[in-house]
Amino acid sequence: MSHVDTIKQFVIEEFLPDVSAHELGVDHDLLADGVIDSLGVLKLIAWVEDHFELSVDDTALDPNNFRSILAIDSFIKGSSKPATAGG
Amino acid sequence: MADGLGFCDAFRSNVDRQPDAPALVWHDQETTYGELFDLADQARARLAQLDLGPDEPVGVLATKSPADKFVAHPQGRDDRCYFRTGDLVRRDAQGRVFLVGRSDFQVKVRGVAINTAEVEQVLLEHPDVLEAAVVARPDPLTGRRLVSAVQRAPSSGLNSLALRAHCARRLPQAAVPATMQIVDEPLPKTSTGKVDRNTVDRLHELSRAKGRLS
Repeated sequence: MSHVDTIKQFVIEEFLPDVSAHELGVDHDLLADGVIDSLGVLKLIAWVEDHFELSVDDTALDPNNFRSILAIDSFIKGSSKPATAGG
Repeated sequence: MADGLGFCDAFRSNVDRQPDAPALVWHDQETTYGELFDLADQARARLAQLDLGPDEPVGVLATKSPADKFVAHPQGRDDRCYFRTGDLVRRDAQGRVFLVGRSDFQVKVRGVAINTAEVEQVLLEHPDVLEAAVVARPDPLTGRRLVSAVQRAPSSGLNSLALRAHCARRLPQAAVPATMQIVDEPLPKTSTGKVDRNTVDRLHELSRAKGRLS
């Protein structure tokens, strides 16, 4: 199942309060023009972990996983199996 | 604060009269840069010429200028009191002095030196931007963050996404304002008709209070 709408809603509320959903393309590069900076990426990861109840492994802290709505969505899809603690 | 005391306005006469005016000097490979200093009493006299009224200048200096504006000679050549004008200058090989900008607008954001006046200029280059103001504000996590406010052209529909893309093409990433407020009304002005950057900061806090950000 796609989480595109949920992710988009969060990104807009958190980083682009004056932008409406149809103005933000799902493939818009959020890092290139600073919509989300390095701190924003951390905030986003914290939200992803909390909202989708998955743990983002240190090795997954690649900004490219969070570059666009689509990238975040496919990252969530790929991480849906909860990581085992102490793996 | 950022509008300062208008020393830029008096710069020409300052340099004409004082070709050897002391400056906090630094060099890069070919050019000498510096911040112009002015004898404190001459600074007061100059303020008097700037329509501040004959009795006002000293008080204005006292209330508007932090104590670190009055300093000793930057190279310790004499014991007189100097006033930091905040005018950034460049001195060429012939000794001619050129105004570069104001030190008020020079800030460091995440280790990158940024002139907020330059960022304002870039915002103003966008065809849908009528007015722009940029200030650096303390940030608990990053030290400093840039806050901007612009008035957009009527019915242009300009949003922060488009403005960000515009800035990102022309500025280093740290210079793209973290907060972009876009309004339809003219920005608040000071009594001298310049954009009131302190109010820009308050606009930002108002929007925070509405719960949009963290």
